[in-house]
Amino acid sequence: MSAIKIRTEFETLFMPDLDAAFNLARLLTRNAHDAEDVVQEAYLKAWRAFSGFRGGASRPWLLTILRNTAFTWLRQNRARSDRAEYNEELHVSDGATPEAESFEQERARALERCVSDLPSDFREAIVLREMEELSYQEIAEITGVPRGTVMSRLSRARARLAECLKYSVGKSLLAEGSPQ
Amino acid sequence: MTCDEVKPLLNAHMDDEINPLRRTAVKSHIETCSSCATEFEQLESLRNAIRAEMPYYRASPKLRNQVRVALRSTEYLDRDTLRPNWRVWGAIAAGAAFCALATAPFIINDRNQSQLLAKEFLSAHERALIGKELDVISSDHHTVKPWFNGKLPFSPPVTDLRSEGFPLEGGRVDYAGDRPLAALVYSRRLHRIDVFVAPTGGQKAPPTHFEQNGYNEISWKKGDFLFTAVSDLNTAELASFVRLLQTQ
Repeated sequence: MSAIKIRTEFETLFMPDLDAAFNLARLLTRNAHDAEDVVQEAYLKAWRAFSGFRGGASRPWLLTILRNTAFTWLRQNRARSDRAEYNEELHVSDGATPEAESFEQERARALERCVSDLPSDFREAIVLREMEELSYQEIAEITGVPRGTVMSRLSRARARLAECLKYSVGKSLLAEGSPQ
Repeated sequence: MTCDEVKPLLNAHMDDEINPLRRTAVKSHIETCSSCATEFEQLESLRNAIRAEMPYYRASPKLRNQVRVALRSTEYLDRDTLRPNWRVWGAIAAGAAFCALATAPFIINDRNQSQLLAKEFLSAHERALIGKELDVISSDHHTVKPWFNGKLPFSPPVTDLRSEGFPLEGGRVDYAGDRPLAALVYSRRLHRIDVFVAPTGGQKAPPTHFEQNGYNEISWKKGDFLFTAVSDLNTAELASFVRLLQTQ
């Protein structure tokens, strides 16, 4: 196969996953600029490793590379990221008065902040499960831990989120959100 | 099943990740136990809230474009007809550099040391072609120069030569001759030029001209810095590029 065809194949397979890659990178690095660096590096790694891609679902394969890149990046930039971990956008009021915010908006902001405050392995499990809707097995493969660990991370992450939301928005939160 | 048995399974039950035999048992327990039912409902509403309200961050068109450009520029190496076996050449160069380093203690005269350094620059260039990408991608020297702040113990001079036909593509931190260096990356048509920059302070210099495996390497001193340009560009063109840098 010619190099052009290989690149076209790669792009056809993986460019549709760019949003998923960016979303995970954004939630892991908690910073848009760093997330862009991580995404770009991950795509180049994926491209170089493409001959090792044995078909199957593209997204878990790409996200495996992406989260490894993100964690390496976080380790290498720990001093910097420790400061970046405090996501100012989420903590500083953006000028909207609380009264003007609907309950849903308030809850969405609280959710985002609570997810952002989770430890990174919990955060990753939540993103992969709830936003990418991946199975435990897929999450286990991506994150390199046993399926049982995925299960316990998810339940602990959810318990923390529920606690955090209750604290942020008040008790009524979950009751109002429940589907009836 | 008892509550103590069911509660740890509520998450897996909601995620539909429970084995079918237990699923029925858990389900019927939830129907009769209000404490488990409440907990399960709360889990479900949390999930619904996340799925409905968590913002999904999307890649900007700029990032989409950057990724495409980066992929394309990486692919060029695969198609390079002049060096179809660049992986092999890279391995040979790395091997040669390794052998050279391994035997270094036995070869102590200056000339060889300076040749070794030249080879290290060449290996760094080849490594970059094979794998390591630009750490900062920008054609703006006002972006590239400050990027090195804090990453190197010096601030390398950075000039763009776009109008002269050698656009600045970006830079990275590299390592050769036992110390970190700034690597500035320029392009000429489809060729890539790495310019390594480090302070002169007490360092041996590579020979002014070095050639190996179709690569040309030119080194010079200017001000407090030692420069080495490496490329597969022909000697004449690389020399004219170097003259431009020297006179900037």
